[in-house]
Amino acid sequence: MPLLELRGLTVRFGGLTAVNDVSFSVSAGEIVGLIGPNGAGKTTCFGLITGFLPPSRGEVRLQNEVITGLPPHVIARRGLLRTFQKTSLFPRLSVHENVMIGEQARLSRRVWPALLRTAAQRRQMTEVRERADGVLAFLQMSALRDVEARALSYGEQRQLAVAIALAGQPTLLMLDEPAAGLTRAEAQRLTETIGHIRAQGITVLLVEHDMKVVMGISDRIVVLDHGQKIAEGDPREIRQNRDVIRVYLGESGGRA
Amino acid sequence: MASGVRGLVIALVVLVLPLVLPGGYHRHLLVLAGLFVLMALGFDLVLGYLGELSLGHAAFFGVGAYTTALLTRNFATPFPLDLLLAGLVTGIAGFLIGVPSLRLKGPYFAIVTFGFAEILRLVALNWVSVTRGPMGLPDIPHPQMGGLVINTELSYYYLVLVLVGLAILVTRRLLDSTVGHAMVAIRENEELAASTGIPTFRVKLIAFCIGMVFAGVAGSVYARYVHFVDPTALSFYYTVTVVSMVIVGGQGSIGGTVLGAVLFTLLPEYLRVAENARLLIFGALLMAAVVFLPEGLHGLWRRSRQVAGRHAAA
Repeated sequence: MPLLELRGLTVRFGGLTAVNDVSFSVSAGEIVGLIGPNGAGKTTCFGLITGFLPPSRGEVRLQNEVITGLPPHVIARRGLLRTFQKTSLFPRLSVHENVMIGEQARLSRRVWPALLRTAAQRRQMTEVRERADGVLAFLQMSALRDVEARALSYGEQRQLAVAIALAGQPTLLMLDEPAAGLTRAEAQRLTETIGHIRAQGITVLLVEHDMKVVMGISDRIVVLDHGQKIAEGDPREIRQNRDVIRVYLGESGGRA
Repeated sequence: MASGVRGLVIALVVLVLPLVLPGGYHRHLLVLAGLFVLMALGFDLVLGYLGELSLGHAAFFGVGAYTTALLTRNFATPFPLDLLLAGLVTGIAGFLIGVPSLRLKGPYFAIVTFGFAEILRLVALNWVSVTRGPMGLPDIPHPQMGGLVINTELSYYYLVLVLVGLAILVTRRLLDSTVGHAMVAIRENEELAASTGIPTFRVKLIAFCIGMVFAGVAGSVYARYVHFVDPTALSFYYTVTVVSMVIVGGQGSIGGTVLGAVLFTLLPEYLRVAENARLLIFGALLMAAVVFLPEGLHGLWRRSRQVAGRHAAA
């Protein structure tokens, strides 16, 4: 049984069909890459899966339960956590606070225990703080613990976004172009991090432009073009797929 | 250690201050300042921690004041009970107004809360059979608990002090909880907050209701204190006053909010020495504060500490 399954997912914006009848699945433990040229519908797909966009047709299943139509925070609580293409953080909070908020996916928020400061509540807050430190240590970011997120370098901010998602202990982590704008060294480090994340038993679905990153770590790759799935397979198959080559390198005599 | 000493000094000053002040007038001002602190703390929960500007705050103060007035006049409700019920009724009002308005953001939220506040004010003004309209409700009795009667400025001051202390405790505990983390997350980045699993609407509603309860409790004590409530208690003027207090004091900071509220209660009064120029000077000070202290007095305090720290390190 696949962990995540898309069945005939379609979304239209006015006359434009941004995602057209896309089906694929992700099994537990896999790293799946979702690639395609600009405007292929990759990020839209992410929005559809995570509840930020309602699909026009089709459904998304997580562990065989339909999650289409659920609000984003409910989907997050089911263990599906994401990052955003454009760096998205809590800018005026420290790195540690950012990661603590990331844990919300698996926390309760009850007012009375908080106001009465019950023993269970105090224990919960201690755990929240310690676990956030654990995530920072795992990503080798402990030195940045008390720095405000907006004061971080671009690469560190991209990394913090991953830390926030990871803090919620996802079963499926969805990364939207995590390597965008990173230097070679940073991208290399990210690749290693994703490997470590998988080693923890977390399944990863990533949208990525950086071919080196995607080919290097993905078990399987799904290729989108103009909202449609044009290929699916392991990195070697994808590299040799004629449709993929055409889309990425362009046809010599085809379009202008 | 240092913060413990500071807390002790503040506590001592706050406890002794009304005793050393001459005359009832200054004590009266302190009571008003305390009530404004209570209101401002509730307001800052929404502006400073949720990041939404509510323009209906005075209406909730009014709901609390009218609840106590009606309960004591019609049912002779004894003291702590009417206060609790005023808090409860205001919380329910916050819920009813929060449900439709908290789905909106920024200017839309501000306008809708303003509209609801005006509706409540017009209800108080026109539902004459219950509220006596513009004549208001007089003869609200002083609180009495067993042999303890609260009927002087001094005793009201200590009552308000207890309530302010409770409000600060509630705020601090809330902020150091998963609820508080969720609130701040929504203020900083609502989309990311939702994607980390925070039910943004529900958290906003909780924070809004708690903030409004603070205002309602302030209104309840105010009605007791002045024996009287009329529709002007719900007027927009008070909302603007509280907005100024929190923005000048420093939104998202308990100390800044308290300081802003106290300053903005006392300043216009003590500026009376300037006679006709009073409100002019006050307005100029307000503008200067907004222009030169974008993070409020709290920000000034923080920056001066950083400078001092750098000097100490050098």
